[in-house]
Amino acid sequence: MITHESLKDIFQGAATLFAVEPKIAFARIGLIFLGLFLMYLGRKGVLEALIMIPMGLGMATINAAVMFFDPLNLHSGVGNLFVEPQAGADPVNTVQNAADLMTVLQIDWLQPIYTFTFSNGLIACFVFLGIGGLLDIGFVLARPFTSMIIALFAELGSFLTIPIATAFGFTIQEAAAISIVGGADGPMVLFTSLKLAPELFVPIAVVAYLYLGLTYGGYPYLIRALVPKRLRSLPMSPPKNQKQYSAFEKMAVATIMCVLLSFLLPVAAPLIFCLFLGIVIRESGIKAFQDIINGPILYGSTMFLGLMLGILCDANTIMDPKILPLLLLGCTALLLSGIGGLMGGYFMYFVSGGKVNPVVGIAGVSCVPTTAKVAQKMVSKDNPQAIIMPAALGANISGVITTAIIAGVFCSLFKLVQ
Amino acid sequence: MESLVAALAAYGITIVFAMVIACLIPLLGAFVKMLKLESEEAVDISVPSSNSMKEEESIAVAIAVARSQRK
Repeated sequence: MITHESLKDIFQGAATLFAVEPKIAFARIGLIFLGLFLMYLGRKGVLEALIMIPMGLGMATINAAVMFFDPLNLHSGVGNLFVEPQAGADPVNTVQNAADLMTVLQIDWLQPIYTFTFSNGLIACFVFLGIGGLLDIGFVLARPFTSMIIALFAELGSFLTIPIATAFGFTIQEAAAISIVGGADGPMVLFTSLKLAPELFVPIAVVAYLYLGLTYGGYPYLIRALVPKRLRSLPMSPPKNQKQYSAFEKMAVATIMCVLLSFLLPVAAPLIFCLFLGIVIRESGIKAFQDIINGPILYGSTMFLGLMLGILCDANTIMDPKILPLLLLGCTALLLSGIGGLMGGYFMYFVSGGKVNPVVGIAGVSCVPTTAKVAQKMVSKDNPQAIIMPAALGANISGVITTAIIAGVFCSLFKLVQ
Repeated sequence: MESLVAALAAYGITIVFAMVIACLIPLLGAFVKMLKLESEEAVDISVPSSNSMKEEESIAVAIAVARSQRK
């Protein structure tokens, strides 16, 4: 005999819509469509497909797959079989003991990936290792000062957002963890939020990656608004007396820089080490290692990162009252960094006597290699002959280095401030 | 106000670090050039059991000789 109760048990996805607050139910439906839309934008190339396709599918699915299931009594009786993000991330509502953790690890199918790679920062290190494998340090060696100065300008959002976030009521540690979204470096955001504000780790990670996807679509408008066509089409020539470095020499430079930066900033040493390990493997000529980091590690971790971020976008997390200010602050941080980067581009344009295309500045925002690609794409539209990619990649890589420095400075400085 | 000062202090420290790195990069470049790291003999470091192509070839020859002697 089919009763009302058994129908409720069969169609739990629909039944849970009526068992929660209406705003959560509407948020679930909205997030399903948002997930599908993000996938569409990823597939169309408007947003970063590598993140958006798994993230969009994860977001849509997790909000569909809600059921009457809450073994740890954390969500008023509803949950899902994918992941329990509060198992380890939130000091207040965290699981109480090892048995609870084992329960969620055995029930929720993505829980082991979340617990053992995401909530401890391992995935950030893997992504950085893969990114390192893509970076040619020769671009920084060609223009060290230009690249580093642009990168410093492009960190404007990482600093100016701190007082704004504290005005919203966040502590200085939380404000710093949110502000580093302005560095546009996903792994750094994960790492810093884990160190400074673990209770905000999930929403900050979600907001950060959502916006990092948007840099791909939003920064071209910023460039068009702030750089006139005459300057956008400015060609750049290679620096005079540019030295050529062999792979062995680049490897030696990367090795010394890794040791030096780790010495200066031990707090960020895991990320610094992974980045430079990737660079060293790239230049070492060990093809088997290169194949591992450029293939399974980079793409495997990116896929699981995107998927996990989507899975974490359940309505309960997104409707958290702290999320709205986070959305505004993340957007502010990236906007300020973009403006700062272009200011850096202008600064170098004037200092160099018109030899640097100001659009290079946007590549100082270290979303490797997205912002460098955006810069070249914008310049190519106005002048197909102008090649700014080498300078843009130099600024891009310097951006990664400066964000690593900022992560180290924030973790050291703000951990001490009460 | 306090957070603005803290943010500016962090920015200042970052600028100092980044400029130190920027100054060191060309010096490091010159230093590694001075080391003359490239040797004349091409070394295949992908092969764990041997240090060079020449060594690998000599091992292959030794194995071939050993096999022919066994026959």
